[in-house]
Amino acid sequence: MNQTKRMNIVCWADKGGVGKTTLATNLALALGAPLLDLDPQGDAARWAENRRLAVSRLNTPEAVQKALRQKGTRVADCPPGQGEVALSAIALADLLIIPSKTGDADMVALLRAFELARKVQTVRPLRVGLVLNLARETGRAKGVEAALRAQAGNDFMWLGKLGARVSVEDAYATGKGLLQVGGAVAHEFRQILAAVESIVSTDSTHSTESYESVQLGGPS
Amino acid sequence: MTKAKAAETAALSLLGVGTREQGTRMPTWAPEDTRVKPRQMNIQLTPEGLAMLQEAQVKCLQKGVCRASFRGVVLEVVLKEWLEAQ
Repeated sequence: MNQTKRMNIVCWADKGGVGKTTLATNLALALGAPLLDLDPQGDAARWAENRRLAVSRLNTPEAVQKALRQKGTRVADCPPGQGEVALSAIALADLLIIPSKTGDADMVALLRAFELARKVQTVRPLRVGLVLNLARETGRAKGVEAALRAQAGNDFMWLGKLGARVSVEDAYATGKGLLQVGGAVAHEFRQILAAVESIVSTDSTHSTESYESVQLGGPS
Repeated sequence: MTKAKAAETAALSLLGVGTREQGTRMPTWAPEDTRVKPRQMNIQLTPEGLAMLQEAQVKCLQKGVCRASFRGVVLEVVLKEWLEAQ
């Protein structure tokens, strides 16, 4: 993991219960990156403590901004919604990973998330990755997956999907990583991990002179 | 201030971090009437998008494709139009 450049991997969604913590904790573990728990619920911190992994709990925009301006790679688990802590992390993210389920309400939340990411992208680079979580094998869910994959491209990257499995919940409860669970769960997570590693290793952000133009202040 | 730092400041400002209006913490770009409740996406399809949806619906019905697959088509059209409108 390159510690001379900055890479903020932020897991966020506008809706709760879609798998932000599952993704953030497992990515931090697999990448060997520090984990930041920005959610007042503290689920990521609890999981990390079960594994005796270092985790930082941050609950103010100032603390988040200070942490995300450091060099090195880190993974942040955000609270859902558009509170100041989450927005601070999104504004300073280099890779924004948005997990989503396949329900109608999830799709509405997903479009809100893309809209927010677009706002940040008007002033600084931000890569956006999508993970379909708790994906079931119904026709509807497969239709949604196909539609999202078809739209993946410059605006967002398809990172992969995690199926709806009891073993994922069990892994979380016992402080295990998804790679330790093995089987289909590990296989799916490996694909997501490979996509994230590819982005992290090829991203050349944060040369301080990489921006062509900047607009300061005020809403759009 | 470096360009990168300026861009980060701009992003924080765009998202309304650190700004407060009338005691609320909604992003400053949110319209007035949405500041007390979550904003809902309201996507208006173009005539072309609507025609695509109607054509897809007819094809789905003709082939006996289930509604689940049609929902996937709906999402694809809506996403595509929204992305192109940005």
